[in-house]
Amino acid sequence: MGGVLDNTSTVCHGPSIISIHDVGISSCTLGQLRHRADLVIYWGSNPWDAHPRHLERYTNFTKGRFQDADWYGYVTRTNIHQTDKRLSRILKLTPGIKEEVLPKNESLPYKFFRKGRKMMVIDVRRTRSADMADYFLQVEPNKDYELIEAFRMLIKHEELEVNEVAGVPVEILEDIADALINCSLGVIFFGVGLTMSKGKHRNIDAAISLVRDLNQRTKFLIMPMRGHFNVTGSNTVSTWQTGYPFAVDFSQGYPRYNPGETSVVDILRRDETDAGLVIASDPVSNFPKEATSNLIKNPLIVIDPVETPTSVMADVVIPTTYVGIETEGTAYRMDHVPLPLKKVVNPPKGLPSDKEALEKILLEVRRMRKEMI
Amino acid sequence: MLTLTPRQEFKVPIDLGCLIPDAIIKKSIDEIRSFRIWEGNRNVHLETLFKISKEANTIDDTIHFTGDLRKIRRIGAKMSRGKIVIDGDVGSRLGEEMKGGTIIVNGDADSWVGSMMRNGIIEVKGDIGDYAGAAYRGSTKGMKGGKIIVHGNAGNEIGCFMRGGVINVDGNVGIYAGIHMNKGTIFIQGNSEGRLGAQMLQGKIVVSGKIPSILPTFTVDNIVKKTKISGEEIAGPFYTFIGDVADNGRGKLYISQTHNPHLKQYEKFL
Amino acid sequence: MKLVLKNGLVYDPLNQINGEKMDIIIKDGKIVEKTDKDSKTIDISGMIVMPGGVDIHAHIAGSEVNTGRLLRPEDHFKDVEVKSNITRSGVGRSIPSTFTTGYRYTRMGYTTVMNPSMPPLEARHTHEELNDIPIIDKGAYPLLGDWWFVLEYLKNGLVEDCAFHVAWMMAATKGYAIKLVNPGGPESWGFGRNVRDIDDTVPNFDITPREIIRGLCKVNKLLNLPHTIHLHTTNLGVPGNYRTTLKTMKCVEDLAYDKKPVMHITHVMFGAFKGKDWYTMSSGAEKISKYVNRHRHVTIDTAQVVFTDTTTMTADGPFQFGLYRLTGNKWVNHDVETETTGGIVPFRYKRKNYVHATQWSIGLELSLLIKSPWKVFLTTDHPNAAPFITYPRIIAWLMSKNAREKTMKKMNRLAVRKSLLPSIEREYSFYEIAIASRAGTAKALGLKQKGHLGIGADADIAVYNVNPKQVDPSKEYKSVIKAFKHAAYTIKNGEIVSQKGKIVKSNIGKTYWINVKFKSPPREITSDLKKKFKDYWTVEFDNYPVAENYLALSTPITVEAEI
Ligand SMILES: [Zn+2]
Repeated sequence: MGGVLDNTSTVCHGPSIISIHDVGISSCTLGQLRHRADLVIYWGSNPWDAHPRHLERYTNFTKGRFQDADWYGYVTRTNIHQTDKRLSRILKLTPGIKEEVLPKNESLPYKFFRKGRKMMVIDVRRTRSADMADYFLQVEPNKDYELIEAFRMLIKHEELEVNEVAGVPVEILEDIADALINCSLGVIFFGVGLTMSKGKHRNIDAAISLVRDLNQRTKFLIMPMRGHFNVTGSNTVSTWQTGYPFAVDFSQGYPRYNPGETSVVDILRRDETDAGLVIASDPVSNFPKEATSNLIKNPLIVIDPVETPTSVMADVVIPTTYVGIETEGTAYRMDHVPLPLKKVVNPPKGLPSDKEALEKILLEVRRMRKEMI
Repeated sequence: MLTLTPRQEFKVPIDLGCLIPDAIIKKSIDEIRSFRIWEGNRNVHLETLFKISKEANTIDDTIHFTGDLRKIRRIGAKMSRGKIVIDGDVGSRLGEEMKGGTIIVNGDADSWVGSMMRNGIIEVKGDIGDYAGAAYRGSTKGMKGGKIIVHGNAGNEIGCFMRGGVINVDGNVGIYAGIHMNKGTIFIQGNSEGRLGAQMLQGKIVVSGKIPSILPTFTVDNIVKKTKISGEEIAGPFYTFIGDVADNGRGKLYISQTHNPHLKQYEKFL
Repeated sequence: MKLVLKNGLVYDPLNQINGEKMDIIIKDGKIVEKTDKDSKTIDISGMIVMPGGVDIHAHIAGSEVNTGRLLRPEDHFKDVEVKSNITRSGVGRSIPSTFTTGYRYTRMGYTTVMNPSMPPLEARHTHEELNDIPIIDKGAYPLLGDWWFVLEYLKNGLVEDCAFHVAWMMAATKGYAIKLVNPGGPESWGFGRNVRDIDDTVPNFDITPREIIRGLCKVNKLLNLPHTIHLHTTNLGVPGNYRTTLKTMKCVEDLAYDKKPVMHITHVMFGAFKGKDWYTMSSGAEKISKYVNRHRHVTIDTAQVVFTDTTTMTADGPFQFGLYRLTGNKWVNHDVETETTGGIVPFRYKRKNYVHATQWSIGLELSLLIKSPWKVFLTTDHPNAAPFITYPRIIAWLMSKNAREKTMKKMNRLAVRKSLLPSIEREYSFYEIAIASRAGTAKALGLKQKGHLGIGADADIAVYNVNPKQVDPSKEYKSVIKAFKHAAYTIKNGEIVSQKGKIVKSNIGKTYWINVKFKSPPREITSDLKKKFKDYWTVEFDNYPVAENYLALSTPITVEAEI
């Protein structure tokens, strides 16, 4: 057709991908972390709420070949936090005592200088995951880049000429830098908190560079915490077929790629399309308003098993089967491990899978254009 | 001189990479009219989109655009000679991989001005977008030579992976000017939004206006009264910083002392 | 389709045919004896006919290759493949997209390509990509040298148990041969370490690379696999490592039988460095060639460097990290739980660089000093030493001393002074090229239908427009390059798929994999596996194997094990 093909990473982990183009990435499959990671850092991500099974399956709360599960530490910490909360409630009820607005960052607990699994959360606010962690570092919003760069200095034993970075005193940063170097395998999981804060892909650029530098001293890995179902799969297939992971423009007869120019949000914002085909995603609820209104004013076809705000706005809706329930297929886990999806029940009669629907459309297009018959 | 005016308002992006002074010399007007260009996913003749006229008795290798050119990309790509004058706003990738000649824009330009350029001059009277003088995604080969002059403001990440040449911005710039820079010079007469010279290896960035803060990975070096950019003297005084130390960089930042009193804390290290 | 190729000059080394004028008759995808009346005849007078090329080692698909693609948009954007009515669009250069890979191999007259490093856990991904590589036949080697089961069984001397599990793995991953990459290194890399010698101990597992290599070599024999073990040596890319390579070849000498090879060492150029450091680094090709000339149990491929920008990718994580430290280029690392690791670093081989020029020289020295082309094969370890599209240039260097000298004129002078190449007069004949690029590799792989043009062979054929009676390859090597760049005809499975560099038909290639049948009694081989599965991996046992219907054109090769 000479259209543009994009996928949901354009609105979530696109920045991570762009930074990988510039610096690469030191990563792994999740089992590697289960067996070996003793320092697990969640940066701008909240696994307890967003990836509920993550901790017990892959990191701190699971037992690997070389590392034990840290359930005990978790139970202790939860008890402490419960007590804290109760106390603060009492304090709130006591007249005259005011609540502290921004808790000062504490120094690193001794645990971080011993063997065994440790969990650290770095975020702008205290999340549930932060409560679970052995240590929580609260940073000023939009200062992640400065903080990462400061760590990159400190792990080389360079001194900083400032007293604090991102609201954290340099002494604490130095302790954390020591903990980073002294673990036997460390990992940073980063979430949208990092990719969408000020600087976007450059935050990831710096984070990956930090991890790369740390490999001079110990073993360190980094992984994006990806959300959308099988978005990794879309990236993967797009990359092997076209060379590019998302935002691929076929208008000149071959794949071209330049996010910002060929990414769907930017194209819609500039109102350069005259038709849209949406497959199993929901741009109407995720895209900026301008982009959405330009999308729906043109002919819009939606292929989706479920009703979404986008399908409601569509001119044509092609309902399809659920992959992994009514149709088999493959999904790529966030660490790029491909998993087969099974068919459990029969789909309603006559309902095609998304693959079948697209193949039929393609066949018709090729027939009309007299291509590849 | 060749003059082009759009026949109508464009909806889809137009790729005009093929229409450069190098390509039009010794070409008749009819040959030029039948140049094939991309309008979105359609391959069309140049004359279907533009009114084209050629003035006699003027030098052969000047191209003049007028009208609304915001959808037009890659004007002057890979040109090595001649002159392109644009009256109006222009789309992205202006002067991409330019090797010589001059482009003058009497209006604004979008992102990627002079990306990967090797020589020549681009002068934009208005504002420009992001990534001026940058490298293509994944590449470390940004602008290597030549000059980009912007009279208005510039966006983020100008001079990204720059390897030489000069970018001169009269107005303000966004964040990350000179990121990953490796040689070359950026002169910002207005303000910078910060994160200046992030991860730079070499090169020189001068800011005559304000900057919210310096990255913690730069170390203060000196205070100088003035500095020079392509032979021209720029009055200070400036704080000078060296970095980005996180990348073992030896790049230099010159930051106005007068406009940035909050940087006084660094003076204790001097 | 029925087809007769008339009057071609046939080079078919497996049938000892050396440039004879012959007709090749094709019917239903096979080479047959008799012409049918309704056959289409093509007159190829003055052209060379060879079996379709067989590449024994090229990274063309899988998670590592794909991450390489992801890493390098700047590698793609200036080399594109525009769509046609028959072909799909894509990008090229050092890590071409899948469709492009198929088309470009086809254009060069290659019809079978082996993908040498498949992390078993990600086998499904590799096969999904292989399915999207059109025309050519393929296979993949699962990485087994660091698999915990292998380490544990071999440590306890349980070779048979190990063999059962390897056989299970071949079927589960739809693999073709046992691949070892720096055995023990990737496991050590799990905690950022490496093994430096085949007698170093792998941390936490108390086993040495020597024991792993010997163990899997025995397993290979027990299972009667068509290919030998396929080995990437320890200490890769380190000056002085030619000793490790020699030691590795020696360590299985006593396991040889029937005068057959029992080990294939891949990309030997990277393991043939002499010297103490990068300043004193020089070629160890002479020593290695001498050894290979005197022994029958080992075959090698070279990994010929071509001076260009490319992308290095191996499952040797610590090696790739070293390369990052050397170059400062962007670096990808990808550890795979329980099995292996991998790394990617873009790399530019510069002709004026002493080390790179020496590497170029080592590859050619190996090819020219090893007397029998049945022992040394042409590869670039695509894309590690160069992209596969450079094969025609390498063929010219092999066939022409003039071509070598011309390159040396522009090369680092010290490297040329130290190189053995100026003293080597040998030039490959077309017959020898046919061995090094198809007959020899097909034989080493045990692909009985490939690499020759005898009756019953697969009709995978390349016709090159160069007349050996008129063209002297030594002088007119440019005509040779031109001919091998775009085959006049490439015939795949009996159909013309490419003509003078234009793809005229895009069909689906086969995927070969090994199905091991054991002698009675069939043992419950997975009980131990199932028990440990939950502990070792993060996927379910049922989700691990790649089902046969996943393969676009599954072609199992059944072998009978000795046990
Ligand atoms: Zn290889």
